[in-house]
Amino acid sequence: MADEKSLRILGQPDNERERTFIFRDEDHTLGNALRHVLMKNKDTDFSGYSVPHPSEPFMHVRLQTTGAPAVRIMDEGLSNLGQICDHLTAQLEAQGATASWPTGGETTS
Amino acid sequence: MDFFELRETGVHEEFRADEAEEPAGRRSYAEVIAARSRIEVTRSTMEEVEFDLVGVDVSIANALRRIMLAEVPTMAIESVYIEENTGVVQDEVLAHRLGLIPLRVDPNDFEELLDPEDATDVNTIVFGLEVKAPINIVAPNARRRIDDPVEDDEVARRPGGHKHTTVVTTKDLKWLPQGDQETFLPEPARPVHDDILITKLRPGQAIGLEAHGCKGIAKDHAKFSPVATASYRMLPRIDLVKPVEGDRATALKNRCPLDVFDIEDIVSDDGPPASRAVVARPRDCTMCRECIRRIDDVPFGDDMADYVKLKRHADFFLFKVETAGQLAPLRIVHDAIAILKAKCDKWRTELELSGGSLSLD
Repeated sequence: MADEKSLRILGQPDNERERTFIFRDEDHTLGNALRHVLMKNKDTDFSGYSVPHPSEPFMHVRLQTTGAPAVRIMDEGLSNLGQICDHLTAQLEAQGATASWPTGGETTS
Repeated sequence: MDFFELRETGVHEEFRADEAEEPAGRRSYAEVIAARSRIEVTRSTMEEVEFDLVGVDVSIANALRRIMLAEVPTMAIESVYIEENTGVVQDEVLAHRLGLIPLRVDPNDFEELLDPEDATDVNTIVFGLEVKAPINIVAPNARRRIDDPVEDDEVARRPGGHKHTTVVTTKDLKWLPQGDQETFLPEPARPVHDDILITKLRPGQAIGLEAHGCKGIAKDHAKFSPVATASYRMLPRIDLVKPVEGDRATALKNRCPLDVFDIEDIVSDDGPPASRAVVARPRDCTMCRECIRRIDDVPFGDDMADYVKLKRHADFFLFKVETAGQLAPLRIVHDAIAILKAKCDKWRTELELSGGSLSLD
């Protein structure tokens, strides 16, 4: 684990459909959500995540596609998850939440 | 829309293919979710907020819950420089207690402190704590009158008396503004509550210290957690698959300890007046399964499960977020979504920088 790079990509050079992505300082929070979004992609054949050891700061995502480059599908997955966040933020702001303190407000039913 | 059904024993999944509903056009998953997901605040106070998160997968709901618990930054006391501490609470215990005090300071006004050597006014807040427990120079029992123990006791319990205990609370913490903090902070930094007990002092004991606070996340230390609790549950759904009428309706209503069912009158021109059970308050249901339990020797006790189906929506989450006081409850939710978004952006950038090239083992 000497490699300090935050993102590592493992796989075979002659097969770009299959990759393992190793995320540094990530855990189940991003892992499961990302896995789910990747599974919803029509080009995904297999997607799974794991945290190989609880005391090491790494999270692995395995991605196999039906033909598209796995790196591109991963980018689409991250993009989709980000867009979902944007949508939820818009929904929440429509309910009166902002990033400034204080936003507690009075009791409403 | 998927459901989980609870029967007398076990949970049974009920999946309906939602992909089939999608038009053939290549809509991205984000667009599909955006079309069907929403957030609706159902209850909001200064301390806690309840909201519905509808139309997303559990993995996203759970990611938000985990981020609220462990990754939303707040400010807390991190280093304590003790000049004097003659109280019975040891230095390290005192420092730990100070660290746990929730502070009402907006973490957005500060930068992260990466190295304690780099402390400046943009990443550190300073509190001073100076308390001296008074002591009478005169010996407490110098004028002691044996025939008047009451007066003696009163004197001893006054400040300075040998029976007096000095209480040190968060009220004694004095904010010491650094640099431009008085101009860039919208309000003075202070503890959320001013009556948190820090320690107690006997006469003559004293505490003098400086406490430095910085920004952090609960992944590093639980004191940075902005929430007391952040949890979700799936919306219960109760289906009456056969009409529940008359005495059976009354029996069902009376069975439910949370009063989920109401009884409706059925008015018809022909025939006698009748009544029917309806599901009125499914949100109150705790899935206790009393309504589908088989009870022998009770009217309608043996086959209620044929009439009532207990389910949960798989994509309807009832969130409850209770703040620890540093941030407004809705602000915590807002920040959590922003943090998940920031993670996505960060890794997209990393992926782009790597150019998709393989790492060497």
